[in-house]
Amino acid sequence: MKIKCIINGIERNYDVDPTMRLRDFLVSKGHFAVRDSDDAEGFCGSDTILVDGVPVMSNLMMAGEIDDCEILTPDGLGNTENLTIVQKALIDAGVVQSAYNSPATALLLTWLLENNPNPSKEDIKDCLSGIFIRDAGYEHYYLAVKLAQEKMRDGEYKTVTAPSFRDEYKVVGKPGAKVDGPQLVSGGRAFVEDFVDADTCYMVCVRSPHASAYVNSIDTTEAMKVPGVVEILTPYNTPETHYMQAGQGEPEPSPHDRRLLNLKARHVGDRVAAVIAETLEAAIEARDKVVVDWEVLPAVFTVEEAMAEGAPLVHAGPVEYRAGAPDDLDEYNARASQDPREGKVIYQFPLHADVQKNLAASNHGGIGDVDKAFAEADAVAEGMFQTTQIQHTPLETHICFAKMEAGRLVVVASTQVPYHVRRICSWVTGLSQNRIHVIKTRVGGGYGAKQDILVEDLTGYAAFATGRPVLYHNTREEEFIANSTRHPMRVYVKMAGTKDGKLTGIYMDVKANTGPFGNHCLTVPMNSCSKTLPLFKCDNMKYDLEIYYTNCPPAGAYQGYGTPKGTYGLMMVMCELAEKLGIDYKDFVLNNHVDEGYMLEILKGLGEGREGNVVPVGSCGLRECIEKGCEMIEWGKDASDEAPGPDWKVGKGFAMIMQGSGLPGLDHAEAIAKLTTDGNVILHSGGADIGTGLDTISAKIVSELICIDMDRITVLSGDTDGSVFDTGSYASSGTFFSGGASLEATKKLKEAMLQEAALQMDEDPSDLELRYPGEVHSLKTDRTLSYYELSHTACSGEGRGEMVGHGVFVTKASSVPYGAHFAQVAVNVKTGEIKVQKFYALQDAGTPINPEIALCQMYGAALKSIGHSLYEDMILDENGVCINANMTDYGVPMINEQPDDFKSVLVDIKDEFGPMGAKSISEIACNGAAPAIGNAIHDACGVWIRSWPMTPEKILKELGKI
Amino acid sequence: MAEKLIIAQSAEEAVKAKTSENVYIAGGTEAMRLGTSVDCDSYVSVRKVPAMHQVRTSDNNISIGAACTFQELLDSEDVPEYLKEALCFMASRTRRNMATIGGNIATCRNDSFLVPTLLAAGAEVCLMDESGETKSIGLESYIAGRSQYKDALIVSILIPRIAAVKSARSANTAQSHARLTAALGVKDGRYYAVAAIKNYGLVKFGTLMTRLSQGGLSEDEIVELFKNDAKIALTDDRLYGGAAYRKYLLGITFAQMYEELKG
Repeated sequence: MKIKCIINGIERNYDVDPTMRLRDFLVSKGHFAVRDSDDAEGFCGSDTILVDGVPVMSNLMMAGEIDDCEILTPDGLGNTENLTIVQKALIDAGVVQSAYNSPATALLLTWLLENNPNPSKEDIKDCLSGIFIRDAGYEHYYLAVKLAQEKMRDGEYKTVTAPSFRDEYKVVGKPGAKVDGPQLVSGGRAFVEDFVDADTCYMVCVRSPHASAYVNSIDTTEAMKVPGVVEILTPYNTPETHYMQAGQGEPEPSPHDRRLLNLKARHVGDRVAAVIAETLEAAIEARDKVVVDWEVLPAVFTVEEAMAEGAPLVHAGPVEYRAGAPDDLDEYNARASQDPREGKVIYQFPLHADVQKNLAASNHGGIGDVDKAFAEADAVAEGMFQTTQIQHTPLETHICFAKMEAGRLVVVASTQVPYHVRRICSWVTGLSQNRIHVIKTRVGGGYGAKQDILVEDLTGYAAFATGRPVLYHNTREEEFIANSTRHPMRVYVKMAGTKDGKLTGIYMDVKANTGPFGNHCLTVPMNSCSKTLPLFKCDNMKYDLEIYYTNCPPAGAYQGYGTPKGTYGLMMVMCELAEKLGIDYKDFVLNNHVDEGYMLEILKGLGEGREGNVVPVGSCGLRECIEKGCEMIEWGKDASDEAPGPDWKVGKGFAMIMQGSGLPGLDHAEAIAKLTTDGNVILHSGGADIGTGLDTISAKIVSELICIDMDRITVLSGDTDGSVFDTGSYASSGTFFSGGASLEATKKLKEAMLQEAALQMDEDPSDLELRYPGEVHSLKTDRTLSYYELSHTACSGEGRGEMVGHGVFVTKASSVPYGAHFAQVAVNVKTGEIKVQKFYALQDAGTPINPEIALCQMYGAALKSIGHSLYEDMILDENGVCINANMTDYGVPMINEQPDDFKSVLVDIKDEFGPMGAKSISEIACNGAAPAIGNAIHDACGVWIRSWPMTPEKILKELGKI
Repeated sequence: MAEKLIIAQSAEEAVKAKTSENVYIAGGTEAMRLGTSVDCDSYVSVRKVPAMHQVRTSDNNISIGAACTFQELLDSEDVPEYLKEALCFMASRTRRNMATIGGNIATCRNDSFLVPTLLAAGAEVCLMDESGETKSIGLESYIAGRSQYKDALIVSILIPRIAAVKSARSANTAQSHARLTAALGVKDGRYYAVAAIKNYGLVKFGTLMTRLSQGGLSEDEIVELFKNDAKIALTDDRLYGGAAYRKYLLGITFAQMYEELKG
């Protein structure tokens, strides 16, 4: 069909397949910022364009329908060098983070302001009602519109975008200048899909329809006949190497319990074969012709089923240990299944597991005597809390492009852990690491999902095995069923206290469901104790932790790890205990939280499979967060006048929270800073910026120390050839570890510059300083030397060489972020509906190096946590099939679910150990919503809701209505 | 080979182009959507038929062109508030810019945004057959005999300008599929109660209609009526709630709408 249209102001004539999706057509014409996050579900809005001036979803239109139409795509706004006011305002407001649909959002807000120059909050909400954002929340979109309006009207911003911190610094602690903002908001090439070669092949996976089944055989005869099929990988033609997909420092506290393709499917969606073909259509056609002969086995889906005597075993094969094998291992393995399809489980060191009881790992410990504490207490409270399986739902689903180039494997990945990707690709291909180059692109949302090497292993192997470039991209359904998720957990908490307001005993029994594989099976559940119990000044604490294999979809890393679940149980039982003791909950919390200097004996048993570091509490803004939050929400004041109607009851609740800043003693980060020959700086960071502003942090550190403006600094990160080792972005390590490495590298560069300048200027280095706008200055002679001259001479025919600083950051010091989250909810006692009227997130984050970005991350993580608490749940049927593996049914919160009054507050506490006094920010903000909302629901209507999600149906049941 | 996409400029052109091999398409939010119920890859698009985007008023009624989008109707001063209440059930503005009233009726999903409200208002649909002849029938009749009208084009919808209708929707989030969409209308003292129940269907509640029309019922009586109505054979649904919950929800929802209508 021949069509004529205007695209981004240019008249075009095309001959199109009229029923081709409009989005696919536009991408084929180079408008790749028109993205797809939902396989045409009409949900996320990443595919938004304007047709004849009206915002529509291009995935829901056909190419033929734009005949005689005028189209505006997101890349038709400003470009990187010439941003529009709206694009710039979005960056300045801090909402351009992982940014997969930031261009679409910029387009929508541009449309809004053109049609309504003075939009109300409701107008903005309506405009963005078809946009899903996971990372930054929606609150600062209102700010972005306000900034854009001010700029259009007054020529400058009148509103301060975020508070500033640390007067002694010029850019650190000040809002502005996200280094990748222009590229991301304007729709420049940024993500894996933008770097795929034209001759790429496509890979799709053959997945199990059964929760547990042996593969008897795989017949690929008919599939191989499909024109364009290049290869079909099966368990029979791929390596038997056992490994795991968790991105963790080696040796990992995760069992090596899988192969690239297994002969036993352990969950619905488990991959057992992969088709590589020259077109996606051919790959799909061939996939449907692969015949797998299954031997269906009984399955287990819950911890209770997995624990039961005689339960079907998820891993029934033999076990090996790389270190610390028990003496009776041979005897143990003699009881194992001898069926080779089971494979084996290899432990790097003991995790106190027993696969013959589905036990993937365990840990037990404590301090003091809890039994005595419970016996002597004035009151005891207890409760069993259940959390469900939650998906990360990044806007960019998992994707990888891999190819062989000059005998090396090049892996282009959307990953949080490029160096772990390199190691695991090395394991599965057998190539040494010098022959593997991992390029991390911008990451369209991670939240822990991209800490696991879920698609890079197979894609890398496919490229290696075929010699052809290979692209793999998860569908949204695969994102649910074949990815990692948040571990479902059952947390039992018992607490004891005395009438004088002292917390005297805590017991936690945590049972976690790791699904079919043990990715992070110890670490995640461990966090439910290790990132919660150190909040309390309590002499008697005990925990029992057991993690079970099941046939649910896989679990793995998820922002917050196990902490949100431990916090949920602990802070709700603490609230109940306060009530039993007749003490105000706020006073009870203030009486019993830790403060600076308190020795955390509880940490001794809470290392990751080894003895933990007992350290005192460092910088701690917990009390400030609690007190300020109580003031803001008017703790103790009756809010019934804020009820939306006569059937509504209003209540308030809060929870104190903590996290970590990386893993002291385990994490490792490096960076190299070098002065270019014209006197500017390139910093090669091993860190992986996943949209969180890590590269900006590094650039700001360089700017402060080298005394040059940000535009004279380039940060190159996440490229295993071009940078130096870093364990990656997880466990809140980015700012603390990778930022720490950037600081160390910059200090070394500064030292090298002063040494070289001293030689060139014939002065003593101690008499020299670096100063703005980029020159060496002698305090003794007042002479100056420009960086250009300094570097040019150093790199001349007689020079001593380029000035370089190599920084390594490792530490045993622990910088813990603290906070308190507050909720005011209204509960309709007739319908069970819950409205979060107010949500205040207060956090001590040390020095917030990028304050506007930090605030948005707090909004994003808190909203995510509100979603987990109220709406989100992967629901399996009796056969283990996820029946809501799509965005609409799964239930992520969008702008309509955001609390009406939503505030993030940074409490100013400078840390002793973090770079420029910083701690981590984002992950901790996942931890507070469930107990804050749960306690508020109780305050409103008297019921305790002890399971996620807290639905109207559960409320009505507790109220005795049904 | 038949054309895969015919873009009609008039309703007459559309019905002439309709064959057993293609389907009508308007906004595309159902036909083009992942998991669509529309099993066809050839289309007759009525998106650009000008007459089907018109809203015309007469003394008592409003005629709404079937290709009017939800948002066009929300922006129209002629569309009554009771319909706007239901149009807002589609939370996404961008989808409201695409989805059409005719499409919502034609697909008649059991989580339909508009059908319960239109039924409660006593709406009629104007159908055009392949010869270009038009006729109006009640929406209820259209839905009951939908298979016989599958080749007919809905060109417009006729609704009363003033009607006492309340609508309610219950869903996990604003964007989730509705577990139920309910509407209650009253005209000359006679009530019309209907709900679209996800994974169950479109249900008219005759007993409730009769009891309400006969005289007042209390909230508790309405809740009890649904609780004990064996004809509502809901079962526990993992996604949309237990049977007891959904029956209770139906009861309390109708009770609240009844109170509002009375008020």
